[in-house]
Amino acid sequence: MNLTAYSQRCSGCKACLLVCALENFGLNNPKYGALNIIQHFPDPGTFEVKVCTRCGTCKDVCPTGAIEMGDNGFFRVNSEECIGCRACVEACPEKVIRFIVEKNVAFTCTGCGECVRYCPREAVTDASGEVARA
Amino acid sequence: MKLGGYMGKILEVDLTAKKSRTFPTGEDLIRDYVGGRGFVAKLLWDLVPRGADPLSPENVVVIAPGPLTGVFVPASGKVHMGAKSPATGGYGDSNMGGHFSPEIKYAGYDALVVRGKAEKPVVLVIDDDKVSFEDAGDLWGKGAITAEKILKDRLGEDFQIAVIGPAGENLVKFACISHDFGRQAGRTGVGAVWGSKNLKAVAVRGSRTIPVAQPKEAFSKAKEMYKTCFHKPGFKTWTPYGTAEVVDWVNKVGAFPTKNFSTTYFERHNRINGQSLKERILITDKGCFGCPTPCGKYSRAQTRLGEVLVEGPEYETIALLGGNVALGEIEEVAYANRVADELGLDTISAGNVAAFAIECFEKGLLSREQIGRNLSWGDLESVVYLLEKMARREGIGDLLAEGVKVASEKIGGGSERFAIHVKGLEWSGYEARWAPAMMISYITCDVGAHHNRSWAITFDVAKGRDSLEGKADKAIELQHIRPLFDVLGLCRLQWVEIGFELENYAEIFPMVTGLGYSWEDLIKVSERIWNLTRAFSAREIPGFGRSFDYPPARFMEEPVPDGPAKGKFLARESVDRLLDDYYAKRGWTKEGIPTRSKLSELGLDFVAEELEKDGYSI
Repeated sequence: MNLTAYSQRCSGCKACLLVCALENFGLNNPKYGALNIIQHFPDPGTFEVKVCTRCGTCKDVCPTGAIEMGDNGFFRVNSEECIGCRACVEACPEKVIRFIVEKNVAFTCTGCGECVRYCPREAVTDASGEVARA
Repeated sequence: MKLGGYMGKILEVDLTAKKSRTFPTGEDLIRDYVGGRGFVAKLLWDLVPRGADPLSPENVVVIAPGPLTGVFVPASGKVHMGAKSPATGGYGDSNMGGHFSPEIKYAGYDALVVRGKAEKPVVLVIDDDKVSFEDAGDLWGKGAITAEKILKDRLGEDFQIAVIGPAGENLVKFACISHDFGRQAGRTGVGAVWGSKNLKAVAVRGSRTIPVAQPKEAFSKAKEMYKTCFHKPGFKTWTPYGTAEVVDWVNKVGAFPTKNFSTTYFERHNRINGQSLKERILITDKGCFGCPTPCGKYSRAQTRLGEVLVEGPEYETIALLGGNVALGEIEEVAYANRVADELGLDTISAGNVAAFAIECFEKGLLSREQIGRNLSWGDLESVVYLLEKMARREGIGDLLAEGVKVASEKIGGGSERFAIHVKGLEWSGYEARWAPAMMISYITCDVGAHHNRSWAITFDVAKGRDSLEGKADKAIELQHIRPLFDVLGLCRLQWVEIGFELENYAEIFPMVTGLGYSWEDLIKVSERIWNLTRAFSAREIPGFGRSFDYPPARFMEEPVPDGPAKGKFLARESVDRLLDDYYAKRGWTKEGIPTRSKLSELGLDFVAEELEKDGYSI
């Protein structure tokens, strides 16, 4: 899985955010989606899509070592060790880490691929070709 | 089972006292009216005092998402905006896409009710539980797009904002509410009602999760729904053009509003169609919340008057601010679109009003002195001049701001014949002289001449355009199905445009809500709402009934002069036959009022009592 964003294809619908929160937490709340859709309107009239680049900043700033790289190459937050300080949320350069209030835990992109499957525009894709739009 | 899709409470705001409170979303309200348009209809019936002036503090604004709004279901971003209409004096509502509606749900509300009038212009700011009234003195007079951008910069990009322009402030009878730099609740003058309340904007931000009754089943079904949409042929062929795709077809069948509906074929259609939009001005597709097939086309257009950025033009704007005023280049239509959006004018009504003014000038009923300049068809300067005048109520604009019905009554000279409206609401983009199903749809639409309740012209084309048979039945069928999307809080275009099956909605509704309603049950809810909105107009408009259900004389007496529909018109006798058939099938009196037995069948005995009080024989 090699998550890649094509901003110029995005229509700003936010289906990716909703499917992300549902897949990972069963919560119907797009504010919990681990992507960042920025809109630049009315001028110049473009969308910008940010996804996890696996830069590791979250792991570096976590004070309890709760964030580690998983088998699929994406970082995981260990909910037992996360103290809810939100240092990772603040530090993430792409602003794609969320804090799930209901679970009191930070959430980083797990590489589940649901955003790739359900983005109607193929604005989020898997460059490795493993996952495609449904 | 716990109810899902509902947040459990409604926010009521009193602008006069600058206070707010919440009350539980009633079980009866949910059971009988479900949400969205249903909530708007019932709350307006209950809360608007009989005989209230639509532009007085007594009128009530109801803003309602539906139970599926903001839930993972394709295109769940629609909101219904209602009030007693200043355009018609009867039931008024308008539907809008974007991201405003889901945000209301995430903030924790199933509807917003706004009453009273603020002493000075305000922005109503709703941030989850926190409700505040921010001074809007510096925003008053500013364009809708400009004001939204200022508010985004001030409050934060994550606020979703609905706002009025100068037209709403100046109580123009067809002022709209704007959102997301290009989405509008355009019809019935809901923007003027906001203006009358000194309500410049509503800004909402929410952080909550929407509960879902059967989360696993609903999630799985929604995924299947998206996947089905992705594989419909129209997903690839319709989406790139959006609603503008239909321009050529409407011309081909001779139904395209041209020069104030004097004819129905515009020879320059291929300069203002979907292809022109895509190839010449499109920057990006712009979707409403969760939309698999974004019809929003954000564009940049260069004209001799300058360059504009605008969302659109979509079909209705192309029809009314394009063909109907004979603007023959997509860039010019885009320019007029942007001017209307910034001023906060409904492009459908504004296009009608501009065309009416040009025809009045052409016929010598309005002079150059009265207007302040010469007017001509296909002239961008004429159109922009008229839009500015009407939005600011300057000069001739003060009369035009009343809409074509009132303007024609004052101008006289036979101008009523070509004042293209029903009930005071200007006609949208499908001329119906040779389309009886579309005609009965327009004249019986609960808010006036609008296509969205029943778009039946394809039925006319498929089943025979000269025949009246089965046309009323089709209109009734569609008047129950299409507004149901406004009840659920969804967009209907996946069904209409790419053939996504209705069964999908029937299946996912109980999974999300926990309400064990079949599709037939939901259609019954839709019929209940239809009868209630008709009764609202009967309650509010003295002598309401059949005489309010006729098209303008132009459509009944003037044969189409050229194009594919040449020679066609729908004689008054035919219109009467359609109305007789329609009222009978609906269980209404010959005067078009719901009968006591129909109202009883729908659980609307309280409505029957009110109508009898008004002296209607039902």
